Order: sequence, then structure tokens, then C-alpha cells
Amino acid sequence: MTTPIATPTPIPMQTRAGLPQALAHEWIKFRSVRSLVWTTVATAVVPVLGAVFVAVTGSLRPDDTVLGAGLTLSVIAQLLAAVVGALLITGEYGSGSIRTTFAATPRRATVLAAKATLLTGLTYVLALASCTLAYLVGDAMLEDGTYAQGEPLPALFGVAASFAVAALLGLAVGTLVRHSAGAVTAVIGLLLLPSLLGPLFGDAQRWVAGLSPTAALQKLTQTSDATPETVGSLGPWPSLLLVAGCTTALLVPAAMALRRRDA
Amino acid sequence: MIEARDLTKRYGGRTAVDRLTFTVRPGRVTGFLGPNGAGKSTTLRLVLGLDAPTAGTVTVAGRRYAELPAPLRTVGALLDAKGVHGGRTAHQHLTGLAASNRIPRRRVAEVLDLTGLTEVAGRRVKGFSLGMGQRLGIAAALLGDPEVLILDEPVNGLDTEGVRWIRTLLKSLAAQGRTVFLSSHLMSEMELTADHLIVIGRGRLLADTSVRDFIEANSRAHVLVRSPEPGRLRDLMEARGATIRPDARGGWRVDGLDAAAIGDLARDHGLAVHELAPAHSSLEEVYTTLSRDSTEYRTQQEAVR
Repeated sequence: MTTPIATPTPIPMQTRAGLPQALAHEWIKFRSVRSLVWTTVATAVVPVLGAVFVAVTGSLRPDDTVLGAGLTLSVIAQLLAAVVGALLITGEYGSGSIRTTFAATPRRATVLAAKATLLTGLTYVLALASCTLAYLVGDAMLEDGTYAQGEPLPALFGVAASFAVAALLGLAVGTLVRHSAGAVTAVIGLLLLPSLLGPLFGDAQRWVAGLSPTAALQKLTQTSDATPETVGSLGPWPSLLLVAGCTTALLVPAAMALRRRDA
Repeated sequence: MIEARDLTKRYGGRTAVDRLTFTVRPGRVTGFLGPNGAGKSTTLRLVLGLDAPTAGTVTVAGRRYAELPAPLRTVGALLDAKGVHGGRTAHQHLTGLAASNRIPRRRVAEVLDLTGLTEVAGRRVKGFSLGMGQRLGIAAALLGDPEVLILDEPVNGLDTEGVRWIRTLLKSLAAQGRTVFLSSHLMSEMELTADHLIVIGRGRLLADTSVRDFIEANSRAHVLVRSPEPGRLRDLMEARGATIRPDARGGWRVDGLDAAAIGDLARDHGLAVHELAPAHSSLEEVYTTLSRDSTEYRTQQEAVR
């Protein structure tokens, strides 16, 4: 062992590790953790299963739409997307690999941006494919003319975007909380509590419940559950903008905490 | 080159690192010593920008770590074996790191080969032994062919063969002109591997010196004596002002008389001597004394200077 570090592969200097490199790193890390991959797969499968279930059992109300029925379980899938977002960073804190990540990419805002980019792309594309398939399955299996069709376009793009928003909310919460169990509990709470606690606020219910990404999702799927009394009278797209704004508002302190705190 | 200037880190009211100033130079292996809780790991985290200093600065290759354009190509670090997600394979871990700093993929196979992990590259890290985990950490540190290596307790969990391997590796890396900075609690290992020592206690710098000077300045010379007529020789030596303590290996440790004087004394009185060996305290002993009370050591050090 005379030259143990002999470098047959020359490494060109003067290169900079930036966002594209951090993104490549995140993608390799994501693929190599089973829990993340399977939760993501579940996110994509659940809406389709829900469509089949509803169509087979015929558990629709007369005023339901085919779109709403096909996307019955999309709220569950959206919760899973939020869990993926949280686990994407808490898994690194749990294993200690966050220090390896920060040693490779010391600009922590870049790390967070890479994670956010990966999540947004992944959940948007998967949710778009999965929810479109769920709608088509529902459409094919439900009897023609019995239910109103609903307007799948452009609503499905918004549905997919609401998944990305939920995943980013999960990432923000995961970054702030750092522990997997705590972060998953917190983000599921953030998604579900507004609609559960909404009734306690009387007339303010629709404002409280309208803040959750699930509210935007329900409006976009045009389900009969999304009445103005329960989730607010904002249209589906303004509602999506509102929840996207709330998520961004939480990502900012998350990024600040990530930069400030010791790893 | 690693340069720390007045580096200080306080956690709440506790000062973990207290105005540390030192320079780790290229071309030699620098050992970083200190008892548990002395602030070694904290210092290394400050060097890597993982923790932010309360005061002071530390630079690697002339820059703050966060300002290095592609840090893994300048600095390779092994902080603890637990820097990998257990579900990931060794190959995936290294491929990800290579991607993060635009290091060619072929380099992954090279460092796997170098650390003897090629066979297990496709296995999940959670099934790795402590020694394999350390080898993977070293593979990751070498990935970017860095000019500075920072290793926290690298021989932890390695078997004798592994320890010898890493000793050879570190020395040859230093011989190539790289900066090698390693912490260890194994003094005997430091004595064999390091050329230079930075010693801290309670977060403060206690010594920054070569290994040889460190031992010479801190260990008192003594003589090991073994004789079949211990009682008489002992009385004679004590009469000449020597301090005598029983040695753990049998025989006595004599302070205050050199080997020649003891030999002459024995001959003059017709006493047999079976062993007469001048000795210095080992680094281990010096260090044990030092770490028992670093404040006491400090005053002693200043007196020596």
C-alpha cells in the first residue's frame, strides 16, 4: 500500500456544488430509503383504490359528481403526501445523516430548496397521474347519466398542486420539529384539525376549516362534502392559493430555523 | 491547513470550547487529544460549520467551511459512523455524496476498493459491523480526494488489521502533503500515528507541540530497577535521595538517580542487578496525569516553559 489514495480518476477543480447537485443527492437519498418510497407509492395508489371501492359499492349521494366520487380517497392520499414531506427531512435527523448532508452542502437553504423541488415535482406528477386515473376508473365503472360528471379539467391540475402543497407543508413542519413521530402527528393535525375543530368556531368555521390544504382539495374535487358552510365560500382556485400562501409562510421560518440551529 | 482563532462555543451557560487558537498544518498527522467532554467533537463540528461558534473563527484551506465551493473536494470528514441512513447501501450512500459535489461516479468504485468494501457495497448499512461502518465513513471522507482530512476517532471499532491499515493510510496521506487531523482517546495509537499534538482539556488549549516534545516536556525520566536483593539496594538508593515506588511490572521505579549512578552503587556494594532500564513515562501515562486535572496541568505546563 504505497499510494492508498491513488487517484486514477482526476477530479476537475473549480466546480461549484449548487442546487442541481443537491437535487441529484436528494433524489438518490430518496430512492434508497424504503419507507419514503413505499409511502410515496401508497400516495399514488390510494386514490385509484378509492375510485374502485366507491364505484363497486355505489356509495355515492345523488348530488355527487363522478369526479368527486372518483377522488373520494384523495384526502387520505394527500395526508400521505404530507407524511412523505415530513419524513424526507426527519428521517435524516433520526439517522444522523443530516450532518453528512450539511457537510456535502453547507448552504442549508440549498438543501431545503432541493428537498422542496424534489417533493413538488414528485408529488405533482404522481398525484396528477394517479388522480386522473382514479377519475377515469370512476367514470368507466359508474353508470352513465346517473350522476353529474363534474369538471375534471382544469381541476385535476389543481388537485395535483394541492398534493404538492401538502407535501411542502409536511417538509416545513418536519424541518421545524425534526422528530419523525412528532412531525407526522403535527402535520396530520394541521391537515385534519381545521375541519374537525371548525364547528367549535361557529360562524368562523369556514375560515378555520378553509385554511387546510384538504379544504382546497375537496373544493377542487367538487365533492358534495365541500359546502360553503364547512370549508368556506372561496372558490377552489383562490382556496388553493390561500393554502399555498400559508405553506410558504411556514417554509420561511423553517428555512430560518434550519440555518440558525446547530446540526 | 485548518486555522482556529479564539474559537468559542457556549451551550447555555456551559462553555464547551473556550478561546481555542491553533493551526493544523499540511504534511503531517496532527492528533487532537482530550478527555471525554473536553470539547474535541464540538471543535470538529465547528470546523465543519455544523455548529455555529459563539465567538471566534475557524477556516479550512483559507475559507470558512460554508464558503467552500465544493466542500467534499477540499475537506473529507469522518465524524461518526452513524452518518448514514441504515436502509441505504454503501454504494448508494457514496453515489449520493459524489453527486452532491460533482465528483465523478468512478471515484465511488475506487474508494470502495481502497477501503475493502467492494464486496459489501450492495448491502444495507444497518447490517454493517462497527468496523465496516468506520471504513465506509473513511471511504466517504476520501471520495473527493480532499487536501484536508478530519477524522473523529477513526480507529473506533476497527480490528488490529484495520488499525494498522488506517495508520499506514493516514501517514501516507500526510506524506503526500495533505492535512490530516484526527482525534482519538487511544494515546498509544496517537504515539504511533501522530507527528504533532493538539491537546485540550475543558475546552481550552493545553498543548500544541510535537509528540516527542510533548512526552519529553511532560514525562519525568525514571529508572526501572530489578534486583534479587531488593531491601539493601533500596536503602542505599534512598540514602542518596531517590524516590522509590513499586512498578506494576515488578521491580521499582526510581526517581532522582540516573541508571549510571544506580549501577555504580550496586557494584560498589557487591549487589546483583537484573534489570536497569532508563525510561520515560509513556504518552498514555502523561495523558492520564494531564486529564485528571487540566487546571493543575496548565500551571505545570507554564512552569516548564
